[in-house]
Amino acid sequence: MLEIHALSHQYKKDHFVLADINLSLEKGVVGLLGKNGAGKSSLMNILATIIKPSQGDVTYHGVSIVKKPQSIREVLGYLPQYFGVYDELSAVEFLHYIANLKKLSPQFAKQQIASLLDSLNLAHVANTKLGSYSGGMRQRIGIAQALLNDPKVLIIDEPTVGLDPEERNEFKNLLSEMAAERLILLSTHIVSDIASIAQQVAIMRQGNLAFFGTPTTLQSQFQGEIWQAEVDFEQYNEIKRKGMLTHAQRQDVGYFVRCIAKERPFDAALSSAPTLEDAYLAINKNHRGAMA
Amino acid sequence: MIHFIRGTWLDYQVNLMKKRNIAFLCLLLFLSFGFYPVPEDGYFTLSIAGHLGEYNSAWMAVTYCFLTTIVMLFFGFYFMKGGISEDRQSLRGKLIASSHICNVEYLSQKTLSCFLVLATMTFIGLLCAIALNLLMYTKYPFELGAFSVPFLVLLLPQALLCAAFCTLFDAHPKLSGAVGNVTYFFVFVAILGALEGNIPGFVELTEQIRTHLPQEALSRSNLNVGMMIDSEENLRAMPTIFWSGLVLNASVLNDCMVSLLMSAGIVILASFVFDRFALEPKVDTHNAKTSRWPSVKSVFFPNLFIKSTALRLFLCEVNLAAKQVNPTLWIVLLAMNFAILLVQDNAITTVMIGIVFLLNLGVLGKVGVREEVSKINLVLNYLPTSSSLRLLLQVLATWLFVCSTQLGSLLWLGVNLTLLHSVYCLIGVLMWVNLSMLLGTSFKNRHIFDLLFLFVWYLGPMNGLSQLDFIGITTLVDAKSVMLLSLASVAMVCITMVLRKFRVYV
Repeated sequence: MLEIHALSHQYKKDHFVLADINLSLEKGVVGLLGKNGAGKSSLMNILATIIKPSQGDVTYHGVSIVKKPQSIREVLGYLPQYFGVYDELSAVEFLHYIANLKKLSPQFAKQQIASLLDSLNLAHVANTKLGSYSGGMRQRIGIAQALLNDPKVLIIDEPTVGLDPEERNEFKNLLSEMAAERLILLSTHIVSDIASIAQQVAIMRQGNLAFFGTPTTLQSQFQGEIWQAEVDFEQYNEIKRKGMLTHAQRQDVGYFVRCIAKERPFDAALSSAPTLEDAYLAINKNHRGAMA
Repeated sequence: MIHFIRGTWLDYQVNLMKKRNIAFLCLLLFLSFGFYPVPEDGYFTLSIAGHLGEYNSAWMAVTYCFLTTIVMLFFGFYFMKGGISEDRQSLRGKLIASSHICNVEYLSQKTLSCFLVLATMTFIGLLCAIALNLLMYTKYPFELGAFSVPFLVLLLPQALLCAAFCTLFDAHPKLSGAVGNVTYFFVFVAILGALEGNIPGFVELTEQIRTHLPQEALSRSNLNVGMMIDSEENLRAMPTIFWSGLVLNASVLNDCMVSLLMSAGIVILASFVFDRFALEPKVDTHNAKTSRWPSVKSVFFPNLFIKSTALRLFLCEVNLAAKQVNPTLWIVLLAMNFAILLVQDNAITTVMIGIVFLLNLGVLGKVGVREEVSKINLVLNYLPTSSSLRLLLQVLATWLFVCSTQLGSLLWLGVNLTLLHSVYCLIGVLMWVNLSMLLGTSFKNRHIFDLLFLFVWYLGPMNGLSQLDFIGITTLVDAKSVMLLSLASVAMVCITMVLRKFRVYV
């Protein structure tokens, strides 16, 4: 569906924010994970045709979207991490405006707007000026504009920022329902959001693709390498110093820790099944190299 | 104290290389040196009681300082203002509001960093003036002392005053927009008029120069320092005086202190006006404000039956343009427009022109930076509609809306003068819309547009300078001027299209 070939991008000379990315994305939810500055937003902006890559190509059904951005724009939905709205307009007016920019037929637009406002719990403020919306409501308007054209490719950057737990859950369900018919590229820092809905995970590290595959494959890479135990302060510091720590929780005496190590790091440590978060943190810390 | 200095220095470094400040430096150098006293040309220079100074270091420095002060206090305000608004828009303000920094300290930092930028520009001007003096006016020896003193005691205090005004008019969101810009303009014009050119700080300078004037000149009245435009012959015939430079006496220092104290007073006043980036009130979604204008659905009901996407989009753009204005004001204005068709009353016309001016400034100034300010760019730029089509529709919608506020005037021009006058006025509005788009796209702020708009309104429609009277009442309109204005509009929209096409949003 969406093929990324040898994609590189640089804002400054000699500094690649993306370096030789190759990916083949099909229908379903693809979770994009990575630290700040790993290149996630640059990749998303290139896929959303906002910026042109320095090198490489991206094709959608065989057509280059770098050379012909229009080939994807009509089937694309994009929610940037930071965006604004026209404060003077109401939600309905704003969505009508975007619908016209997306060249949707008036009947379809009307139907979609009503349905999205309803499913995103904004129907009761449909005619309220956007200037008086809270952060979470604005985020939902952003989601609505992205979904307006019933996109075949949906790119969403940190969509759950500002949403309360209930709204977050509803949004994840909505994405799961939609994933059957389209490609959803979801970037977030919240690993648990991806764990529950993503069929595939891509992990970016310093502009490179550190991992691409299913969450199960990722987790299985660290099978038998995750340990947990209650430790005292001295052991805790030792684990932290070695960069093995993936999770720590303060107890009455000492800490409860999860850590990654090829071999049992200390006698009291018990082996544990790796979670997606463990695996992500391990990859991000380049733990395999460090432990080797 | 160290935090204060570090904060000021950082803010100064951030401000120094801003595009609009570089543009202002160019304007400052152009205006100050463009009118610099070159003996061979007809020029705009300093004369006192019909006497010119000899072009030694002292006289040249004073001429430069005088011209720069006027340029800085007027244009500088519009170019330099905006530091606090930027904090407000970028949400840095929320971080500042939650920090320990007090209002006076924050505003003083902003004032000082703005002053440092102006001082840097002044210093560059001084270097240029010295270079010019050494290269062109070799007849007189270069004297660093005589050259530098006016910069230090005349120009720098005025730079601080300008920075303080920028802070005052930027301290509250309601003052930092079009209302503040217009208010400052009239305050500036009124004060300058009231002082008859005797800007504080320059009074003692005038007195010192007077003492060098010959008896016949002293016997005349109104010996104020003034700027004049005259023909080459008249200037050549003008007697010259020799003046060796400003003496740093108590009175000069006193004038300096007055400017410094005024600046401090203005910053303190600003701290009372400053809203400390007050957060938007919490939304009560059940009682939240609904749009005062009728919704797009009711106004443009046929929308559903319009096949053309471009036309539907155009209606949305008109709706958006209309939302920038209070509907009551629009209706009052329209009523006044038609009232003057029936009753040719000067009072109604004056009030109406005032409202048209403010409303146009509000709408036109905003449209050029609308996408930038609302941060909607990223959302709009992945959409299939091209940025050029969007720009054209924005221009047309805004033009149509602004013209609607002048419907009566357009009819009046057509009926009482000629149809060409109406056409000229219509194209005049189009030109302003395009200029707003061009300047907004280039500089990403509206200050420069506001400044130009005010300046042209002041000279054209308000003071009857026919070449700049784009509302077409006193202009000697002909087909050629209509053609020129149309070409300028087309050129501006084309440049804006290209700029928007290649603009990087990320």
